[in-house]
Amino acid sequence: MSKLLEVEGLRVSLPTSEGRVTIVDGVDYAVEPGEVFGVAGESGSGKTISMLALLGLLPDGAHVGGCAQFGGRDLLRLPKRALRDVSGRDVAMVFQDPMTSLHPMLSVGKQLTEHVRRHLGLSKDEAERRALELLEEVRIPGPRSALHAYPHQFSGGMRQRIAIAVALACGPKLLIADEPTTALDVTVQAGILRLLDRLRRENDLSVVLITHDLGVLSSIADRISIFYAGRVVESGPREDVLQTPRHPYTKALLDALPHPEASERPLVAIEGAPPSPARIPSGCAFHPRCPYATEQSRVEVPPLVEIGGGRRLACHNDPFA
Amino acid sequence: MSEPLALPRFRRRPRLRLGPAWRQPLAIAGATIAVAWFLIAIFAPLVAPYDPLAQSFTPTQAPSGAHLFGTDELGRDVLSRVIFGARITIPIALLLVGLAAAIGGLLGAVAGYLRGIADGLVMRIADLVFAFPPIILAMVVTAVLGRGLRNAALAIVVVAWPSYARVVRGLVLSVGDAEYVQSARLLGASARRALFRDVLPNIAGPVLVLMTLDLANATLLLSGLSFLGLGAQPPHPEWGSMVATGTQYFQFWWMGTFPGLAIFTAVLAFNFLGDSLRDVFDPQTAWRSEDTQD
Amino acid sequence: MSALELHDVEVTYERRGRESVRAVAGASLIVERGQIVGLVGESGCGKSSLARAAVGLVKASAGEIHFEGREVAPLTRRARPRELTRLQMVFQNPYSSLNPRRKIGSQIADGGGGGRKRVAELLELVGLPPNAATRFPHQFSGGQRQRIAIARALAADPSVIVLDEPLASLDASAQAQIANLLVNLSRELGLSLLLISHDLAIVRHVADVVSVMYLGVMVETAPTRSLWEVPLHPYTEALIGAVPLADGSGFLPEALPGEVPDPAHPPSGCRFHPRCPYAFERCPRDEPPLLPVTEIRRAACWLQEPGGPPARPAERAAQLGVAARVE
Repeated sequence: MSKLLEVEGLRVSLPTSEGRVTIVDGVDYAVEPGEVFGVAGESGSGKTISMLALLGLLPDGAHVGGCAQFGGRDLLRLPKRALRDVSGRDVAMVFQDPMTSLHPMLSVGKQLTEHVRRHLGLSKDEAERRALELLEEVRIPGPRSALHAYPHQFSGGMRQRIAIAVALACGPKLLIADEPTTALDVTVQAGILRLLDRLRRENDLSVVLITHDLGVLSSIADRISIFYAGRVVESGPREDVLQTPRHPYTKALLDALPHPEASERPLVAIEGAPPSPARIPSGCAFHPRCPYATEQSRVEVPPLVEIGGGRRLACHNDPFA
Repeated sequence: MSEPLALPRFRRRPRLRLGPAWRQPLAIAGATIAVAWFLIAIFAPLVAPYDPLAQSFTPTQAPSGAHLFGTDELGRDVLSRVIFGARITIPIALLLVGLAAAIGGLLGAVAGYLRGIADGLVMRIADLVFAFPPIILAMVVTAVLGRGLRNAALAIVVVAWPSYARVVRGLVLSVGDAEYVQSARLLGASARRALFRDVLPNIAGPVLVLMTLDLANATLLLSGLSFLGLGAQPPHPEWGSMVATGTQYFQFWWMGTFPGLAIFTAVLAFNFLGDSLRDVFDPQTAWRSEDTQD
Repeated sequence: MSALELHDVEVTYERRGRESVRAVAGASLIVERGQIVGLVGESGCGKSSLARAAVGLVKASAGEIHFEGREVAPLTRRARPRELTRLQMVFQNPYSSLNPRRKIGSQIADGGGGGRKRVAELLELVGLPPNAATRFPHQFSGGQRQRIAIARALAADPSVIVLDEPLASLDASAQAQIANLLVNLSRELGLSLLLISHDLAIVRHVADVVSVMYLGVMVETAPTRSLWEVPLHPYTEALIGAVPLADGSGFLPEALPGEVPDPAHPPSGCRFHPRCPYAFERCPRDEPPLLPVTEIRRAACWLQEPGGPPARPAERAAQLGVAARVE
């Protein structure tokens, strides 16, 4: 099947007080129609910045390289206006804090209708019907009264549902969700995950799900990319990556998680902390924390290569092959 | 209406983009002009070509090589008067901003620390002062105390302290609830000890910003009162009163224009400086290198 | 004598112009010496308020709080009595719990005498080099700051530390490091910990005993292992069922329908009944007390009887002929 989004060699650098810093350093991935593509990584891994770059949402002064094919166009080379059209209609984004995309002073109905009226050119009545549909779609209880309510009147979980409704308003093909459940309770998180899963199945929506929580990815992602220090270290189908991780970092991340069958023994923590983008170690960026590192890891950046079964790995040693 | 895809709020955007505030052009301009005025005030006798009070020239000469800013209706050199004017305006502005910050800050800190009745009392008085336009209130105070530079300065302190009280009280209340203050309290620090060690040092930045911005207000108010004849009295070369005289001699435009420009540049410089300092201290724009990464 | 005892504690917040809110509505909790007690619940269930009341940061409007047999008085403007400083707290956000303008060493030294040597010891105890003392908080990562916050609490030579979501704002690798550190400190120093967390997986790993809180009251208390094996309260069951596992199986966790109600207007009877799949006639009518079901387990649910065999809510409902609601 043809890819919905194909990113190649994406590089992003930002000016900081420590000089220009490369946050994303040559990232490749592809998203297929109707799939949930999971992006995992700790803070500083560049997972969020690499998504913001696609939509031109980076701060001024950012340098972006590589290409991102979406619907026959390179998002990274589109003029601002055209990109805004794409990002309003075909690609939508939701954030960890729903209030970043909801206007606090406008009623939910207003935010939903203005949206569809501008982008789809619907009449007022049609827009209102569509807004109601959207609220039902994301399972807001009492959608009719919710139209007239304001974002602050809803709980965190409901706000995230409304933010998703707004994102879905124009029928996007791709939804980029950046830590959409991180601020929510597990009970509420489960609801949002189920919602995303249903949207993917019923509306053929593709979702890029960015999260630090491998448990979340395990629930709904079809394929997973693991980011470390601005690069992809491992990617592949969910089941394979999580059940038989090949990169030492993926393995370490999984070992650090509390596991139901092993609650008696202490957690296996990864030593050290992820590096600051201003001070990425040479060679394989993970080598200072990696028990399998060799001299080659210290000097040479491992390329991300196919290892069969739709999996890719960036490790010189491949200790779990 | 909100954008289809509202921008995520890049909190640290200003500094991400511009680097340290001192590299910003406005900050540099502000600092340069302010320093220039300070130097002019200090070295006025060396810089000024003539005695500012000597009525020794032909009155109302247009600007020329000998008198760059011309002469006034009494034959005094306008340039020298503008230069000596800095000696009046700038030290007084500094002094009264310091005084207002000390009084307001103390009252605000007490209100925020004691809360309850003390808080209510201080804040209600502050509200009362805020209820009047500053220039009107300052005029009333000067009218009661009598005209003159000293009384004008006192009047400005009276109208200026409440903003410090309000800001300091708010900061003491919010910083007082900060978790690091609570931690210190749990470790056995008394409220007073925590106030001095953990609260006050953390509010110094915003207060400094307010003081810098207030220098501009004070300069403007002082000149305003003098313009109205309530502040500096003749023959003192105060900028505001010079502008006032200038307005009576419209055909000799240089008499009012140059002191006016002096007020304008000084006020602008303080405002630029204050705004840039705010970018430095504002927690909204302060960023930590380790979380800009993602 | 237990290290920390809370009996029927209530915390009420007065709100100007609106009715007051009872965030904690009569909760009891016991932390034994050397024990790690986990307190879990959704946000808004009152667990943070209870933690703050436990150390005296907020005033309990009713009930009793005893630390080593001594009543915990709410904080006044005076310095805390010496004995009470052995009851410490660590906050969620290590970015806001350290003073940005003071050096690490000076902040740790707040907790007691001993000078530089003691500070170095404490830093070593939490796995940081002694030269960390001369640096400022912004020079450290989140995980390191949380270590510093723990070192500062340890400076007071505490016997109980209340930790309010100490892992929530940390990365996965730092979470595991801090969780292990807490367990080790507790074992080595004989420390009691009250660990408040919304992350059941971590609590399961770390805690000896778990209390589950819902809308201001305790609904279940049990040793960690048996709680996970057989949750007795439907809410506990729902919480456990909602945790996603990183096993790659693609299993979607169960969502708990509805929302935590406004604590200003709690539901009648059992506070959980509007969201409970097994609620029957009695539930909206009477509030169930937290009763011992077995010797080591307590639950506040009308499905469970004292002395009855511990069984999952679904089984009990089937035994009692209560029809489970399907959403």
